[in-house]
Amino acid sequence: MEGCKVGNRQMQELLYKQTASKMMAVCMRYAKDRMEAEDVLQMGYIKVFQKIKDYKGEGSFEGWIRRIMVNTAIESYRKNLRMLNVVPVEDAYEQASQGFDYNSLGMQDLMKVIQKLADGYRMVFNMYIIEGYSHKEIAQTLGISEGASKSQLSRARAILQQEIIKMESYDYATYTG
Amino acid sequence: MTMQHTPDKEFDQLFKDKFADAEIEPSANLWANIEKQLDPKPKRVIPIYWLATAATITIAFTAMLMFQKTDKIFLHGTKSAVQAATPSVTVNDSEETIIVEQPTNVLVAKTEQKMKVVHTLSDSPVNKTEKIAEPLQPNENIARLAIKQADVRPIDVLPKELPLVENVPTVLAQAAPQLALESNVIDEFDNGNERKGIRNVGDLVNFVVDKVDKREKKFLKFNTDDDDNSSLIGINIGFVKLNKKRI
Repeated sequence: MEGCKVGNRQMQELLYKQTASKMMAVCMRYAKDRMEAEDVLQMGYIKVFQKIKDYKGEGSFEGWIRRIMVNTAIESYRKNLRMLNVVPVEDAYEQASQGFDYNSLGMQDLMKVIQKLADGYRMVFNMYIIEGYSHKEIAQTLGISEGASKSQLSRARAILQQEIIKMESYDYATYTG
Repeated sequence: MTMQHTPDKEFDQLFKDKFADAEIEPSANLWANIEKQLDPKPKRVIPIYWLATAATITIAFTAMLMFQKTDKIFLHGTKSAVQAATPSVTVNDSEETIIVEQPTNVLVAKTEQKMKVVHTLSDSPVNKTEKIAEPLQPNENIARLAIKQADVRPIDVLPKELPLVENVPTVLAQAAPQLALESNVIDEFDNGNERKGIRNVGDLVNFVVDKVDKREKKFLKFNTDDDDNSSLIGINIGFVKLNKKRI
């Protein structure tokens, strides 16, 4: 880390190699696809190396890098927001989610369904569920109302559950069939 | 939050757990891209040297132009002298005719004619030539050149000056050659813009301004010469007036 502060290229590469795959997973959650995720990852690491002098050693270093990645992802979403059209209306009906063993789902499966979400839903879901932001913080960061944040979260959750059920039944069908 | 059902909490927790230590390998070439973006510092050093070089060249070039300019003015002076010299050959003939007329000076009618000559020569041309000939090096050739008869325009003579006529002929014989040539020089420089054509931006501006602005002090006036050098010598925009004395 000291090497990174001085700008030692080899140390920077080492840090990247140690953390990149974890950070890539973070970026993937916020992105529609791999390409978008890698763009954010790249921008994030540039920021990490630029700001590393300011890192005072509070909290875990990995947590610090992760925060930069999340912020970069949010920033990128807000930049693209102007170009995006209205969120597509997805018919998601609340459905009892009993009877499924979610633990059998792999991370890759969950990633797939998250990436399918409309951008706004995905942001709120990630920020609230995984990163632990409050609705107030989300509302401020994304420039929406707290109510919108809450309703988007429950909607995102409903869509995800629905998608997972679809996936499970599909897997079951292909497995038995 | 209080409204949240247990299944939702379970559901949320599932995502939290699954993503907590999730790892996905990024593309292999991503580090190379990051490295490229981290690099721009050494690239910026080169343009500074380029700027310094460019600045030096510009200064040197400007200096060269300035020295060239002064040289060319000398060339111009001698060149005009040569141009002016050619009419003198034809003028000599006319000079003779004038001189021939001198003895028959007795008649009042003829003295009137002489008067015309004297008047045109001694009036405006002299003043102008003094001003305009200055940028040139003093050239003795010019002084000896004679008058072209065509250049002598009849001008109304005031009756008051008639008594002076008696003395005129002797003056005429000497004064005429000098002044006559210099009036040629005036033509070269003063009205020269249209004759010389448009050779540079200054000429072009002068031409256009001359067409548009009929005032004596033009909206814009450039001093131009044969070397594509031109400098602003006169501005007249009503409240703003700049009129450098013609050197």
